[in-house]
Amino acid sequence: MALVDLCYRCPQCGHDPMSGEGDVAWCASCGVRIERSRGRLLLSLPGGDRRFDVSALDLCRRIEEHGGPITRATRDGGALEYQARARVSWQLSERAVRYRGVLRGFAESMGPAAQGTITVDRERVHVECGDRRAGSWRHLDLRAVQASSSSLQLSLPGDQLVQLRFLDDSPRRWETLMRRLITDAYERAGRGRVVEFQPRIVTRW
Amino acid sequence: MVSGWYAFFRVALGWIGKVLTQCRVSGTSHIPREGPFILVANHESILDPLLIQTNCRRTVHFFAKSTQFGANALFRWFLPRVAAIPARRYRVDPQSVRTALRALERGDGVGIYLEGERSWEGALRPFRRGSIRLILKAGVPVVPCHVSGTYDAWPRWTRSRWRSPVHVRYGEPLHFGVHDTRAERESALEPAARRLRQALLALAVEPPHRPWPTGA
Repeated sequence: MALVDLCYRCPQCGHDPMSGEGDVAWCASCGVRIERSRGRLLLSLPGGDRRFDVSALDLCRRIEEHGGPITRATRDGGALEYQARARVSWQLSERAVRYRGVLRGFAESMGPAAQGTITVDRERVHVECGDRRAGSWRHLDLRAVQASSSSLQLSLPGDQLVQLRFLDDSPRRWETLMRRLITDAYERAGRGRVVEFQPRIVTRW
Repeated sequence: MVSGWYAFFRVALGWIGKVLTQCRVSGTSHIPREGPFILVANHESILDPLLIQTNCRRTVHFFAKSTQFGANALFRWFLPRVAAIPARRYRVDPQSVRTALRALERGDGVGIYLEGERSWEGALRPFRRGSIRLILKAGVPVVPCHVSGTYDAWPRWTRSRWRSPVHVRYGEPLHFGVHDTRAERESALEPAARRLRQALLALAVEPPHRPWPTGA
């Protein structure tokens, strides 16, 4: 968890990715520096001494205006491909959660994590990790997408659940990227506009 | 009904909340003295449930993502004792709805983060349709609650906390009536979502608008 998870590309010049550590992020291209101090986000412009209060909402708006996660994923000629390294774990089972003998619900039990990769293009998502369950799925076949502060969960056909804990990339970038690719895939297939991504992908006409 | 562990943690975590934040609370008179109710809140930080539950005199069963119930042995033990309801985010979860409805039948409160997750950027995100369906099915008073300041104290993208001012505001209860059939709930979904959003935004403090810095 770090500021670069929120601010994965430069809100000033659009350079992608931002560099950073902990509560500080900086742009290797234009020199903008953002840091969290006393609960505020402070932005320093290159060559200036002044620090400006900025809101996280404004940072995110600027990142979207620069193209969000799509620009870095787009190759010459317009093809889209993006990859990240992740610790990949698969759901083993579901465990009943009881209190004083009363069932309150269920929680997933995840298996051991293995190092792997996640790759996306316009049509599919590919997960590789040396596990027999790894593979490739069409965006149209995914059941749900949900991100936590450090990982992304994909619900796959056949009641499979895979969790990807990113080693050097932003879960927010991946959440935004996956949602956009799924939305585009549904629209291209004429299956309506996606209005919800969890607990299942829901569309409206 | 307040269980022993819940009462203990309300006091103990209340102190921790005071250490971690400078918390002010207003509008607690809007929380029903008795009978079932649903409390809906914005969600900007992991501190939100702590501050709401410790500042509410009634027991509130909050939905929590099921992943946390498997995170470690401490969480597995702790979360049911503070009345957390595990909600699976990767599939539709009828059991979590049943548990919530049972709590309401007992006369307790149920807490729902309508956004379903903490906001990355500190702004209100789109609401989950399933949560609104539960509100329409339950037909109990809905108390809006806005927590401001916890994003500055501890946003989801950092491990570091900062002791900053926090304000928990409760609003007047909303009444949606009982919608027994699925068709009734579906037709009432969008208007209810708009009303709930307005109620939460009315309790929020609009941050001052700052133009993007140009260096001039």
